[in-house]
Amino acid sequence: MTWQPEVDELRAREELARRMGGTEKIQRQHAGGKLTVRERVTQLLDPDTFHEIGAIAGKARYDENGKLVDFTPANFVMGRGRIEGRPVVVGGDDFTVRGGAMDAAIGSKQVYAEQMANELRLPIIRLVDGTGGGGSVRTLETDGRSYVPYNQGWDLVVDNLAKVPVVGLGLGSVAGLGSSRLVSSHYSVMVREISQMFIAGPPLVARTGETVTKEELGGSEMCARAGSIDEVVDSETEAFARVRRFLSYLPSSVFELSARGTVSDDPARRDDWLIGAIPRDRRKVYDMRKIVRTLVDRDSFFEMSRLYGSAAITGLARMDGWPVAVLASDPYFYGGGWTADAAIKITRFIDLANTFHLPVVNLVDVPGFLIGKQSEIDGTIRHGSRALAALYQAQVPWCSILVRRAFGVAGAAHSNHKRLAYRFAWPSGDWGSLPVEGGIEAAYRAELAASADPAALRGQIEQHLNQFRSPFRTAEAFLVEEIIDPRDTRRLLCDFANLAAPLREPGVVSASYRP
Amino acid sequence: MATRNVKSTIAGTVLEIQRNVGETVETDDPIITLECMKMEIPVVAPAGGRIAQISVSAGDVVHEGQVVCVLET
Repeated sequence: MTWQPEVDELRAREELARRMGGTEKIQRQHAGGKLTVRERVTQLLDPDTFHEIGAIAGKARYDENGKLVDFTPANFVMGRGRIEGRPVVVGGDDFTVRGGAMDAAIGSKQVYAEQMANELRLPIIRLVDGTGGGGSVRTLETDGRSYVPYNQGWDLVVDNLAKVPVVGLGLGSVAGLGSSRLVSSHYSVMVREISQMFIAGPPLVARTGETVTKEELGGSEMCARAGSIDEVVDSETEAFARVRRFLSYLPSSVFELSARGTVSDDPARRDDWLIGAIPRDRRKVYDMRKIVRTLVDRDSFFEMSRLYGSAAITGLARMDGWPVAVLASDPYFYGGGWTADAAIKITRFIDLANTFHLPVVNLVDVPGFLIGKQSEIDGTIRHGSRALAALYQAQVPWCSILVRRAFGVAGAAHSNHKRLAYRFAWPSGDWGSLPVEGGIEAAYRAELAASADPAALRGQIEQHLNQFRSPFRTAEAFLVEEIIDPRDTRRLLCDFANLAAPLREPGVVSASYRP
Repeated sequence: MATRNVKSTIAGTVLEIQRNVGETVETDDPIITLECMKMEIPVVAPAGGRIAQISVSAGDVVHEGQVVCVLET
């Protein structure tokens, strides 16, 4: 007599689990334009690599003879698999079972997934399609009591941010704890129209007197503009592609280093148009993204959080095959001046680079913090100072290219001045504590007040001061180390990436990541 | 024919209106120039179309997200 009957029962139970919430609920999921959690796992992972754990966990019903008559799987499917050949942990909510609500879950499955990622040092991808953590008030009746809330597994959720890549995908209406699971990640994506995210959904909000649709309350684009998530895509397939791409730049954990990718682009490539990329007229803007794309390995720039804090451009890329973190200014948004949201974005991005030991390339055109009343209302100086702290705590190799302006406190934050000034200035470099145009009134107040023609005097002073503005005068005093031909920038950055590669030190950093 | 609001992505002062009502524009064509942080920052057409309305004048202060122009696309 073997144990075949038990193995047969195991297979039968697994088969029941694969039915998820049943045909009708699956049809409804598809009708809503959404994949089921099992379809998602299959599409995300390399073919035939999913190793499921806890498939047969759920709620069973037995007859009087102890025979299994019905089974509802827990609404969280998880396990290990591979992405581009590298092992990962994946866990997804099953919306077909009680709308992904926690009261149909076995909470320890989620905790297990987080712990597995933590201890096996593997990236974790959360496929979030659930309504929260507390379930419904129905549990009052079924449990006969209430409870003091706590966030199960949150110790691991937080620790994972310091140790392994964490990706959150919003693939449905997400509320409460589900929302927090989505954004407690290094990279979060929502799918347009099928996904909304909020603290509490429209029915609860209606009780406060505010009538809104799901899309009005937590539409994906709004969430991205608010900085709650990083990206909006048009389909689940696109979301999975973004995950695969994001992970390709990172090590499996902070205990490893990012692998060098294929070297497919000439490190000495010179693009002639770079000599004219920055307009000679200081008031004119230009396309920084085009410059970034030219400097990094061809087609390797992966921008993140484009809709938020847009004065700063952040993304991952490769230089001579080495993954790097690219920070750049976008003059189209406040001239590249640091707004409160740009500063928050920069802080998160520096922390990401520092956590995963990615060398930073910073393309600088920062006129300072955005000034004005709104900027003060937004608390810009607080958020900006936080970004400064992130910069001074970062240990990763850092290279700045002073493309144009570096003014004031925010301009000074192009690098940690106590470290080796590994930086290069373009001939368009323009820097100081205050731009001439803005500082004359304050510095020459008495002279201007005494003048019969203050406008003419102002012009004369400006002209006089401008002659001292040449970057060559700064270089004479070795206050900027190198002025370069912009066309040599890629070669110098590839040099930097090659020098930086052996300096990267694996391990948990002291200032790691907060979402 | 659909209309599309063109919003300013920044707060700033209107320096110049570069295009007139009735003109057609292509995607990314500058319509209005704003001044902010001593820079001239264009508000560009998010899509091709005909300018149906321009709702600001030179010297106006605009806030982030303000509709400055309406396009017929």
